[in-house]
Amino acid sequence: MEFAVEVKNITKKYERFTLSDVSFSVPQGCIMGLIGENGAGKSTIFKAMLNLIKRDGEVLFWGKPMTDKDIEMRERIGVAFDAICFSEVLTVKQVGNIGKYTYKNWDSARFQELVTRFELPEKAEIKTLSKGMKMKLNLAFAMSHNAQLLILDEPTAGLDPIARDELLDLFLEFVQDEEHSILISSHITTDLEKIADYITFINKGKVAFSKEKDALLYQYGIVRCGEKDLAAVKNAGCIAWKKNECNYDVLVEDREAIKRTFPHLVIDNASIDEIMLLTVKGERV
Amino acid sequence: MRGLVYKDLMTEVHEFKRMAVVLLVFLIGFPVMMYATSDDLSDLYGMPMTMCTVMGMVMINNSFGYDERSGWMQYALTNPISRIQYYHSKFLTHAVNVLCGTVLGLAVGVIIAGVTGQLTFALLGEILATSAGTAFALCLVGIVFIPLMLKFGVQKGAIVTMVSFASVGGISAALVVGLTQINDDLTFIIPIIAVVALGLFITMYFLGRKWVLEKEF
Repeated sequence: MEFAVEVKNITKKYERFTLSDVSFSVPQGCIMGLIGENGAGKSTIFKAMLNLIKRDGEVLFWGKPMTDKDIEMRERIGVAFDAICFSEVLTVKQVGNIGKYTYKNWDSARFQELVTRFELPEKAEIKTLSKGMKMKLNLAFAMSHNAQLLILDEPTAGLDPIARDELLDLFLEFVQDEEHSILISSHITTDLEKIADYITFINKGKVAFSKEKDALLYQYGIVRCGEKDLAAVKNAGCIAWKKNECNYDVLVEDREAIKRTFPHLVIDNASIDEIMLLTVKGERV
Repeated sequence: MRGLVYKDLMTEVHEFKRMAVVLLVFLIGFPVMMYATSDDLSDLYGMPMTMCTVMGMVMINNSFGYDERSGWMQYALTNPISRIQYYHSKFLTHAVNVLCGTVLGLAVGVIIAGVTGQLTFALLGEILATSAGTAFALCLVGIVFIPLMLKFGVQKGAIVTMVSFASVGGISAALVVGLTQINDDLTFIIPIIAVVALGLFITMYFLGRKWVLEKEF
Protein backbone atom coordinates (compact mmCIF):
# COMPACT_ATOMS: atom_id res chain seq x y z
CA MET A 1 0.00 0.00 0.00
CA GLU A 2 1.34 3.45 -0.90
CA PHE A 3 0.98 6.21 1.62
CA ALA A 4 0.46 9.90 0.96
CA VAL A 5 1.48 10.69 4.53
CA GLU A 6 3.23 8.69 7.20
CA VAL A 7 3.45 10.25 10.63
CA LYS A 8 5.94 8.38 12.79
CA ASN A 9 6.30 8.94 16.51
CA ILE A 10 5.95 12.69 16.51
CA THR A 11 6.34 14.27 19.90
CA LYS A 12 6.06 17.89 20.90
CA LYS A 13 6.25 19.14 24.44
CA TYR A 14 4.64 22.35 25.63
CA GLU A 15 4.42 23.59 29.19
CA ARG A 16 0.85 22.38 29.62
CA PHE A 17 0.41 19.91 26.81
CA THR A 18 2.38 17.13 25.21
CA LEU A 19 1.81 15.56 21.85
CA SER A 20 3.11 12.13 22.59
CA ASP A 21 4.45 9.59 20.14
CA VAL A 22 1.77 10.14 17.50
CA SER A 23 1.84 7.75 14.55
CA PHE A 24 -0.61 7.13 11.73
CA SER A 25 -0.59 6.81 7.97
CA VAL A 26 -2.87 8.12 5.25
CA PRO A 27 -3.03 5.68 2.33
CA GLN A 28 -3.02 7.24 -1.13
CA GLY A 29 -6.50 7.78 -2.53
CA CYS A 30 -8.13 7.80 0.90
CA ILE A 31 -9.68 10.24 3.31
CA MET A 32 -8.40 10.10 6.86
CA GLY A 33 -10.49 11.80 9.52
CA LEU A 34 -8.78 13.12 12.61
CA ILE A 35 -11.11 13.37 15.59
CA GLY A 36 -10.69 14.42 19.17
CA GLU A 37 -11.77 16.92 21.79
CA ASN A 38 -10.83 20.58 21.68
CA GLY A 39 -7.21 20.79 22.75
CA ALA A 40 -6.56 17.10 22.06
CA GLY A 41 -3.72 18.05 19.71
CA LYS A 42 -5.22 17.83 16.21
CA SER A 43 -4.05 21.27 15.07
CA THR A 44 -0.66 20.68 16.71
CA ILE A 45 -0.32 17.51 14.63
CA PHE A 46 -1.00 19.51 11.46
CA LYS A 47 1.55 22.13 12.48
CA ALA A 48 4.09 19.44 13.29
CA MET A 49 3.49 17.79 9.93
CA LEU A 50 3.90 21.07 8.06
CA ASN A 51 7.10 22.09 9.88
CA LEU A 52 5.40 25.03 11.57
CA ILE A 53 6.70 23.82 14.92
CA LYS A 54 9.79 21.91 15.91
CA ARG A 55 9.12 18.33 16.93
CA ASP A 56 10.69 14.96 17.37
CA GLY A 57 9.77 12.08 15.10
CA GLU A 58 9.37 11.82 11.38
CA VAL A 59 6.76 12.83 8.81
CA LEU A 60 6.97 11.44 5.31
CA PHE A 61 5.01 12.75 2.34
CA TRP A 62 4.94 10.16 -0.45
CA GLY A 63 7.79 8.39 1.30
CA LYS A 64 10.05 11.42 1.68
CA PRO A 65 10.61 13.86 4.54
CA MET A 66 9.70 17.48 3.83
CA THR A 67 12.14 20.19 4.90
CA ASP A 68 11.64 23.95 4.78
CA LYS A 69 13.39 24.05 1.42
CA ASP A 70 11.20 21.37 -0.21
CA ILE A 71 9.11 23.82 -2.15
CA GLU A 72 8.27 21.33 -4.88
CA MET A 73 6.70 19.00 -2.34
CA ARG A 74 4.51 21.79 -0.97
CA GLU A 75 3.26 22.41 -4.51
CA ARG A 76 1.55 19.02 -4.12
CA ILE A 77 -0.13 19.87 -0.81
CA GLY A 78 -3.17 22.06 -0.25
CA VAL A 79 -3.81 23.34 3.25
CA ALA A 80 -6.83 25.01 4.81
CA PHE A 81 -6.82 26.00 8.46
CA ASP A 82 -9.97 26.56 10.49
CA ALA A 83 -9.81 30.33 9.97
CA ILE A 84 -8.92 32.30 6.87
CA CYS A 85 -5.32 33.45 6.90
CA PHE A 86 -5.51 36.20 4.27
CA SER A 87 -5.62 39.88 5.20
CA GLU A 88 -9.25 40.82 5.60
CA VAL A 89 -8.89 43.77 3.22
CA LEU A 90 -8.03 41.57 0.24
CA THR A 91 -10.71 40.66 -2.25
CA VAL A 92 -11.60 37.20 -3.51
CA LYS A 93 -10.02 38.06 -6.86
CA GLN A 94 -6.79 39.21 -5.20
CA VAL A 95 -6.62 35.93 -3.28
CA GLY A 96 -6.77 34.17 -6.65
CA ASN A 97 -3.93 36.36 -7.89
CA ILE A 98 -1.84 35.45 -4.84
CA GLY A 99 -2.31 31.80 -5.80
CA LYS A 100 -1.36 32.57 -9.40
CA TYR A 101 1.89 34.22 -8.32
CA THR A 102 2.69 31.58 -5.70
CA TYR A 103 1.98 28.18 -7.25
CA LYS A 104 3.57 26.91 -10.46
CA ASN A 105 0.56 24.69 -11.07
CA TRP A 106 -2.07 27.27 -10.22
CA ASP A 107 -5.24 26.63 -12.17
CA SER A 108 -7.05 29.96 -12.52
CA ALA A 109 -9.97 28.30 -14.31
CA ARG A 110 -10.41 25.85 -11.43
CA PHE A 111 -10.29 28.69 -8.89
CA GLN A 112 -12.85 30.60 -10.90
CA GLU A 113 -15.03 27.48 -11.12
CA LEU A 114 -14.92 27.01 -7.34
CA VAL A 115 -15.59 30.71 -6.70
CA THR A 116 -18.65 30.46 -8.94
CA ARG A 117 -19.72 27.15 -7.39
CA PHE A 118 -19.43 28.60 -3.89
CA GLU A 119 -21.15 31.83 -5.00
CA LEU A 120 -18.32 33.98 -3.67
CA PRO A 121 -18.51 37.61 -4.77
CA GLU A 122 -15.23 38.28 -6.58
CA LYS A 123 -14.89 41.92 -5.71
CA ALA A 124 -15.90 41.59 -2.09
CA GLU A 125 -13.31 42.11 0.62
CA ILE A 126 -12.79 39.12 2.90
CA LYS A 127 -14.01 41.05 5.93
CA THR A 128 -17.46 41.33 4.33
CA LEU A 129 -17.80 37.56 3.84
CA SER A 130 -19.64 35.29 6.23
CA LYS A 131 -17.73 32.62 8.16
CA GLY A 132 -18.94 29.95 5.77
CA MET A 133 -17.87 31.96 2.74
CA LYS A 134 -14.43 32.56 4.23
CA MET A 135 -14.02 28.84 4.73
CA LYS A 136 -15.13 28.21 1.15
CA LEU A 137 -12.56 30.73 -0.07
CA ASN A 138 -9.92 28.92 1.99
CA LEU A 139 -10.88 25.67 0.31
CA ALA A 140 -11.02 27.20 -3.16
CA PHE A 141 -7.43 28.40 -2.64
CA ALA A 142 -6.29 25.01 -1.33
CA MET A 143 -7.93 23.13 -4.19
CA SER A 144 -6.87 25.22 -7.18
CA HIS A 145 -3.28 24.17 -7.70
CA ASN A 146 -3.69 20.50 -8.52
CA ALA A 147 -2.70 19.39 -5.03
CA GLN A 148 -2.51 15.66 -4.49
CA LEU A 149 -3.01 15.91 -0.77
CA LEU A 150 -5.33 18.17 1.17
CA ILE A 151 -4.72 18.90 4.83
CA LEU A 152 -7.87 20.45 6.24
CA ASP A 153 -8.30 21.64 9.79
CA GLU A 154 -12.00 21.82 10.70
CA PRO A 155 -13.13 22.83 7.22
CA THR A 156 -16.80 22.33 7.94
CA ALA A 157 -16.93 24.09 11.31
CA GLY A 158 -19.53 26.82 11.44
CA LEU A 159 -21.18 25.83 8.16
CA ASP A 160 -24.85 25.06 7.76
CA PRO A 161 -25.81 21.46 6.87
CA ILE A 162 -26.36 22.30 3.19
CA ALA A 163 -22.99 23.98 2.79
CA ARG A 164 -21.35 21.13 4.69
CA ASP A 165 -22.94 18.56 2.44
CA GLU A 166 -21.77 20.51 -0.60
CA LEU A 167 -18.19 20.48 0.68
CA LEU A 168 -18.30 16.80 1.55
CA ASP A 169 -19.35 16.07 -2.03
CA LEU A 170 -16.43 18.16 -3.22
CA PHE A 171 -14.02 16.16 -1.06
CA LEU A 172 -15.40 12.90 -2.38
CA GLU A 173 -14.95 14.19 -5.95
CA PHE A 174 -11.37 15.09 -5.09
CA VAL A 175 -10.38 11.55 -4.07
CA GLN A 176 -12.30 9.82 -6.84
CA ASP A 177 -9.26 9.10 -9.02
CA GLU A 178 -7.51 7.40 -6.10
CA GLU A 179 -4.38 9.52 -6.62
CA HIS A 180 -5.56 12.23 -4.27
CA SER A 181 -5.81 12.00 -0.51
CA ILE A 182 -7.28 14.09 2.29
CA LEU A 183 -6.37 14.42 5.93
CA ILE A 184 -9.22 16.21 7.62
CA SER A 185 -9.93 17.08 11.22
CA SER A 186 -13.46 17.68 12.36
CA HIS A 187 -15.64 17.78 15.43
CA ILE A 188 -18.61 16.87 13.31
CA THR A 189 -18.15 13.13 13.33
CA THR A 190 -21.23 12.52 11.20
CA ASP A 191 -19.39 14.31 8.37
CA LEU A 192 -16.50 11.93 8.77
CA GLU A 193 -18.85 8.96 8.90
CA LYS A 194 -20.03 10.05 5.45
CA ILE A 195 -16.67 10.54 3.75
CA ALA A 196 -13.73 9.14 5.70
CA ASP A 197 -12.07 5.82 4.92
CA TYR A 198 -9.97 5.89 8.07
CA ILE A 199 -10.43 7.49 11.46
CA THR A 200 -7.65 8.47 13.82
CA PHE A 201 -8.77 9.44 17.28
CA ILE A 202 -6.50 11.75 19.24
CA ASN A 203 -7.03 11.88 22.97
CA LYS A 204 -4.92 14.09 25.23
CA GLY A 205 -2.08 14.26 22.74
CA LYS A 206 -1.98 10.53 22.06
CA VAL A 207 -3.43 8.32 19.35
CA ALA A 208 -6.28 6.40 20.97
CA PHE A 209 -6.82 4.45 17.75
CA SER A 210 -6.26 4.73 14.01
CA LYS A 211 -8.53 2.36 12.12
CA GLU A 212 -10.60 1.86 9.04
CA LYS A 213 -13.94 3.57 9.51
CA ASP A 214 -15.88 0.52 8.40
CA ALA A 215 -14.06 -1.61 10.94
CA LEU A 216 -15.07 0.85 13.62
CA LEU A 217 -18.68 1.06 12.58
CA TYR A 218 -19.17 -2.62 11.84
CA GLN A 219 -17.05 -4.13 14.63
CA TYR A 220 -17.39 -1.80 17.58
CA GLY A 221 -20.53 -1.98 19.64
CA ILE A 222 -22.10 -0.70 22.83
CA VAL A 223 -23.35 -3.24 25.31
CA ARG A 224 -26.20 -2.03 27.52
CA CYS A 225 -25.99 -4.08 30.69
CA GLY A 226 -26.54 -4.05 34.41
CA GLU A 227 -23.94 -4.17 37.13
CA LYS A 228 -24.23 -7.94 37.29
CA ASP A 229 -22.97 -8.44 33.70
CA LEU A 230 -20.45 -5.62 33.74
CA ALA A 231 -17.60 -7.61 35.26
CA ALA A 232 -18.03 -10.42 32.76
CA VAL A 233 -18.18 -8.05 29.75
CA LYS A 234 -15.14 -6.17 31.03
CA ASN A 235 -13.13 -9.37 30.85
CA ALA A 236 -14.34 -10.14 27.34
CA GLY A 237 -12.89 -7.27 25.33
CA CYS A 238 -14.27 -4.09 26.81
CA ILE A 239 -12.57 -0.81 25.90
CA ALA A 240 -14.36 1.57 28.24
CA TRP A 241 -17.59 1.85 30.17
CA LYS A 242 -19.83 4.52 31.59
CA LYS A 243 -22.49 4.34 34.28
CA ASN A 244 -25.89 5.70 33.34
CA GLU A 245 -28.86 6.20 35.64
CA CYS A 246 -29.91 2.57 35.71
CA ASN A 247 -27.42 0.66 33.54
CA TYR A 248 -23.97 0.66 32.02
CA ASP A 249 -22.85 1.49 28.46
CA VAL A 250 -19.87 -0.65 27.63
CA LEU A 251 -17.82 -0.02 24.50
CA VAL A 252 -16.56 -3.27 23.02
CA GLU A 253 -14.20 -3.81 20.11
CA ASP A 254 -15.86 -6.90 18.63
CA ARG A 255 -19.61 -6.79 19.06
CA GLU A 256 -20.20 -10.06 17.20
CA ALA A 257 -17.91 -11.93 19.57
CA ILE A 258 -19.68 -10.38 22.54
CA LYS A 259 -23.06 -11.29 21.01
CA ARG A 260 -21.97 -14.87 20.78
CA THR A 261 -20.66 -14.94 24.34
CA PHE A 262 -23.54 -12.98 25.88
CA PRO A 263 -26.61 -13.66 23.71
CA HIS A 264 -28.94 -12.25 26.33
CA LEU A 265 -27.38 -8.76 26.31
CA VAL A 266 -28.51 -5.81 24.20
CA ILE A 267 -25.66 -4.73 21.92
CA ASP A 268 -26.09 -1.64 19.71
CA ASN A 269 -23.95 -0.42 16.86
CA ALA A 270 -21.58 2.33 17.97
CA SER A 271 -21.37 5.66 16.18
CA ILE A 272 -18.04 7.49 16.01
CA ASP A 273 -19.47 10.04 18.41
CA GLU A 274 -20.28 7.35 20.96
CA ILE A 275 -16.89 5.68 20.52
CA MET A 276 -15.21 9.03 21.08
CA LEU A 277 -17.39 9.92 24.05
CA LEU A 278 -16.93 6.62 25.83
CA THR A 279 -13.20 6.56 25.15
CA VAL A 280 -12.78 10.06 26.58
CA LYS A 281 -15.36 10.09 29.36
CA GLY A 282 -15.69 6.44 30.17
CA GLU A 283 -13.70 4.43 32.64
CA ARG A 284 -11.01 2.26 31.16
CA VAL A 285 -10.21 -1.36 31.88
CA MET B 1 8.07 35.27 -3.65
CA ARG B 2 5.98 37.23 -6.15
CA GLY B 3 2.82 36.11 -4.42
CA LEU B 4 4.09 37.34 -1.04
CA VAL B 5 5.08 40.76 -2.35
CA TYR B 6 1.82 41.03 -4.29
CA LYS B 7 -0.14 40.20 -1.12
CA ASP B 8 1.75 42.82 0.89
CA LEU B 9 1.37 45.48 -1.77
CA MET B 10 -2.36 44.87 -2.20
CA THR B 11 -2.82 45.16 1.57
CA GLU B 12 -0.81 48.35 1.59
CA VAL B 13 -2.71 49.83 -1.35
CA HIS B 14 -5.83 49.44 0.76
CA GLU B 15 -4.13 51.27 3.64
CA PHE B 16 -2.75 53.90 1.30
CA LYS B 17 -6.25 54.69 0.05
CA ARG B 18 -7.25 55.37 3.64
CA MET B 19 -4.23 57.56 4.27
CA ALA B 20 -4.33 59.32 0.89
CA VAL B 21 -6.91 61.87 2.00
CA VAL B 22 -4.84 62.90 5.01
CA LEU B 23 -1.73 63.07 2.84
CA LEU B 24 -3.48 65.12 0.20
CA VAL B 25 -4.76 67.60 2.76
CA PHE B 26 -1.23 67.92 4.15
CA LEU B 27 0.43 68.21 0.75
CA ILE B 28 -1.87 71.05 -0.27
CA GLY B 29 -2.33 72.60 3.15
CA PHE B 30 1.30 72.74 4.24
CA PRO B 31 2.68 74.74 1.27
CA VAL B 32 -0.37 77.05 1.28
CA MET B 33 0.02 77.67 5.01
CA MET B 34 3.77 78.25 4.71
CA TYR B 35 3.25 80.51 1.69
CA ALA B 36 0.77 82.58 3.62
CA THR B 37 2.67 82.82 6.90
CA SER B 38 6.39 82.79 6.13
CA ASP B 39 8.75 84.90 4.08
CA ASP B 40 11.34 82.16 3.86
CA LEU B 41 10.08 79.73 1.22
CA SER B 42 13.42 78.07 0.58
CA ASP B 43 12.39 74.75 2.09
CA LEU B 44 8.74 74.64 1.10
CA TYR B 45 9.15 71.35 -0.71
CA GLY B 46 11.32 69.61 1.91
CA MET B 47 8.70 68.71 4.49
CA PRO B 48 6.11 67.25 2.06
CA MET B 49 8.87 65.24 0.36
CA THR B 50 10.02 63.86 3.68
CA MET B 51 6.46 62.99 4.65
CA CYS B 52 5.90 60.99 1.45
CA THR B 53 9.17 59.11 1.86
CA VAL B 54 8.58 58.34 5.53
CA MET B 55 5.06 57.17 4.69
CA GLY B 56 6.59 54.75 2.20
CA MET B 57 8.85 53.45 4.94
CA VAL B 58 6.13 52.85 7.52
CA MET B 59 3.75 51.13 5.09
CA ILE B 60 5.34 47.78 5.86
CA ASN B 61 4.14 48.10 9.45
CA ASN B 62 0.57 47.87 8.18
CA SER B 63 1.44 44.79 6.23
CA PHE B 64 2.98 43.20 9.35
CA GLY B 65 -0.12 44.18 11.33
CA TYR B 66 -2.46 42.43 8.89
CA ASP B 67 -0.17 39.39 8.75
CA GLU B 68 -0.21 39.13 12.52
CA ARG B 69 -3.99 39.43 12.82
CA SER B 70 -4.73 36.90 10.11
CA GLY B 71 -1.99 34.37 10.91
CA TRP B 72 -0.68 34.80 7.38
CA MET B 73 2.91 33.76 8.00
CA GLN B 74 2.06 30.26 9.19
CA TYR B 75 -0.26 29.79 6.23
CA ALA B 76 2.27 31.21 3.76
CA LEU B 77 4.79 28.63 4.95
CA THR B 78 2.44 25.82 3.95
CA ASN B 79 2.55 27.22 0.40
CA PRO B 80 5.61 26.59 -1.79
CA ILE B 81 7.55 29.27 0.03
CA SER B 82 10.58 28.76 2.25
CA ARG B 83 11.10 30.72 5.45
CA ILE B 84 14.05 32.52 3.92
CA GLN B 85 11.96 33.51 0.91
CA TYR B 86 9.32 34.86 3.27
CA TYR B 87 12.01 36.83 5.11
CA HIS B 88 13.47 38.24 1.91
CA SER B 89 10.02 39.13 0.58
CA LYS B 90 9.61 41.59 3.45
CA PHE B 91 12.81 43.39 2.45
CA LEU B 92 11.66 43.46 -1.14
CA THR B 93 8.27 44.87 -0.16
CA HIS B 94 10.02 47.44 2.02
CA ALA B 95 12.31 48.46 -0.86
CA VAL B 96 9.30 48.82 -3.18
CA ASN B 97 7.50 50.90 -0.55
CA VAL B 98 10.50 53.18 -0.02
CA LEU B 99 10.92 53.54 -3.76
CA CYS B 100 7.24 54.45 -4.24
CA GLY B 101 7.38 56.90 -1.32
CA THR B 102 10.54 58.47 -2.71
CA VAL B 103 9.16 58.81 -6.24
CA LEU B 104 5.95 60.33 -4.86
CA GLY B 105 7.98 62.65 -2.64
CA LEU B 106 10.16 63.61 -5.57
CA ALA B 107 7.15 64.41 -7.74
CA VAL B 108 5.57 66.44 -4.96
CA GLY B 109 8.84 68.29 -4.27
CA VAL B 110 9.39 69.13 -7.92
CA ILE B 111 5.80 70.31 -8.35
CA ILE B 112 5.94 72.53 -5.25
CA ALA B 113 9.36 73.90 -6.20
CA GLY B 114 8.07 74.55 -9.74
CA VAL B 115 4.86 76.24 -8.63
CA THR B 116 6.74 78.48 -6.19
CA GLY B 117 9.29 79.38 -8.86
CA GLN B 118 12.28 77.81 -7.12
CA LEU B 119 13.00 75.00 -9.52
CA THR B 120 16.41 75.15 -11.11
CA PHE B 121 18.68 72.44 -12.52
CA ALA B 122 20.89 72.80 -9.48
CA LEU B 123 17.94 72.36 -7.12
CA LEU B 124 16.64 69.42 -9.13
CA GLY B 125 20.03 67.76 -8.82
CA GLU B 126 20.05 68.46 -5.10
CA ILE B 127 16.53 67.05 -4.65
CA LEU B 128 17.41 63.94 -6.64
CA ALA B 129 20.60 63.33 -4.68
CA THR B 130 18.83 63.88 -1.34
CA SER B 131 15.98 61.55 -2.33
CA ALA B 132 18.34 58.81 -3.48
CA GLY B 133 20.35 59.12 -0.26
CA THR B 134 17.23 59.08 1.89
CA ALA B 135 15.81 56.08 0.05
CA PHE B 136 19.07 54.18 0.52
CA ALA B 137 19.17 55.04 4.22
CA LEU B 138 15.53 54.01 4.74
CA CYS B 139 16.15 50.70 3.00
CA LEU B 140 19.01 50.11 5.43
CA VAL B 141 16.74 51.02 8.35
CA GLY B 142 14.49 48.18 7.18
CA ILE B 143 17.32 45.73 7.82
CA VAL B 144 17.02 46.65 11.48
CA PHE B 145 13.28 46.84 12.02
CA ILE B 146 12.05 43.99 9.79
CA PRO B 147 13.83 41.33 11.90
CA LEU B 148 12.54 43.01 15.07
CA MET B 149 8.95 43.02 13.76
CA LEU B 150 9.21 39.34 12.90
CA LYS B 151 10.66 38.50 16.28
CA PHE B 152 8.55 40.65 18.59
CA GLY B 153 5.41 41.38 16.59
CA VAL B 154 4.18 44.78 15.43
CA GLN B 155 3.61 46.53 18.75
CA LYS B 156 6.59 45.27 20.71
CA GLY B 157 8.70 45.35 17.55
CA ALA B 158 7.98 49.05 17.03
CA ILE B 159 8.96 49.82 20.63
CA VAL B 160 12.14 47.74 20.43
CA THR B 161 13.01 49.46 17.12
CA MET B 162 12.57 52.92 18.65
CA VAL B 163 14.57 51.96 21.74
CA SER B 164 17.32 50.48 19.53
CA PHE B 165 17.59 53.59 17.37
CA ALA B 166 17.46 55.87 20.41
CA SER B 167 20.19 53.82 22.12
CA VAL B 168 22.45 53.77 19.07
CA GLY B 169 21.80 57.51 18.52
CA GLY B 170 22.49 58.31 22.18
CA ILE B 171 25.69 56.27 22.32
CA SER B 172 26.88 57.83 19.04
CA ALA B 173 26.15 61.36 20.28
CA ALA B 174 27.96 60.71 23.55
CA LEU B 175 30.94 59.31 21.67
CA VAL B 176 31.06 62.31 19.34
CA VAL B 177 30.92 64.73 22.28
CA GLY B 178 33.64 62.77 24.07
CA LEU B 179 35.86 62.57 21.02
CA THR B 180 35.43 66.27 20.24
CA GLN B 181 37.10 67.08 23.53
CA ILE B 182 40.14 65.08 22.48
CA ASN B 183 40.28 66.07 18.83
CA ASP B 184 38.31 68.71 16.91
CA ASP B 185 38.70 66.97 13.58
CA LEU B 186 36.40 63.95 13.63
CA THR B 187 36.69 62.98 9.98
CA PHE B 188 38.74 59.95 11.01
CA ILE B 189 35.69 58.37 12.67
CA ILE B 190 33.62 58.35 9.46
CA PRO B 191 35.13 55.07 8.18
CA ILE B 192 34.87 53.61 11.68
CA ILE B 193 31.17 54.53 11.85
CA ALA B 194 30.65 53.04 8.40
CA VAL B 195 32.31 49.77 9.40
CA VAL B 196 30.40 49.59 12.70
CA ALA B 197 27.10 50.36 10.94
CA LEU B 198 27.78 47.75 8.29
CA GLY B 199 28.60 45.25 11.03
CA LEU B 200 25.33 46.08 12.81
CA PHE B 201 23.26 45.70 9.64
CA ILE B 202 24.88 42.38 8.80
CA THR B 203 24.35 41.18 12.38
CA MET B 204 20.69 42.22 12.31
CA TYR B 205 20.12 40.51 8.98
CA PHE B 206 21.54 37.22 10.21
CA LEU B 207 19.78 37.51 13.57
CA GLY B 208 16.49 38.01 11.71
CA ARG B 209 17.25 35.04 9.50
CA LYS B 210 17.88 32.90 12.57
CA TRP B 211 14.65 34.11 14.22
CA VAL B 212 12.61 33.36 11.11
CA LEU B 213 14.11 29.89 10.77
CA GLU B 214 13.37 29.13 14.41
CA LYS B 215 9.92 30.71 14.59
CA GLU B 216 7.12 28.45 15.78
CA PHE B 217 3.40 28.97 15.41
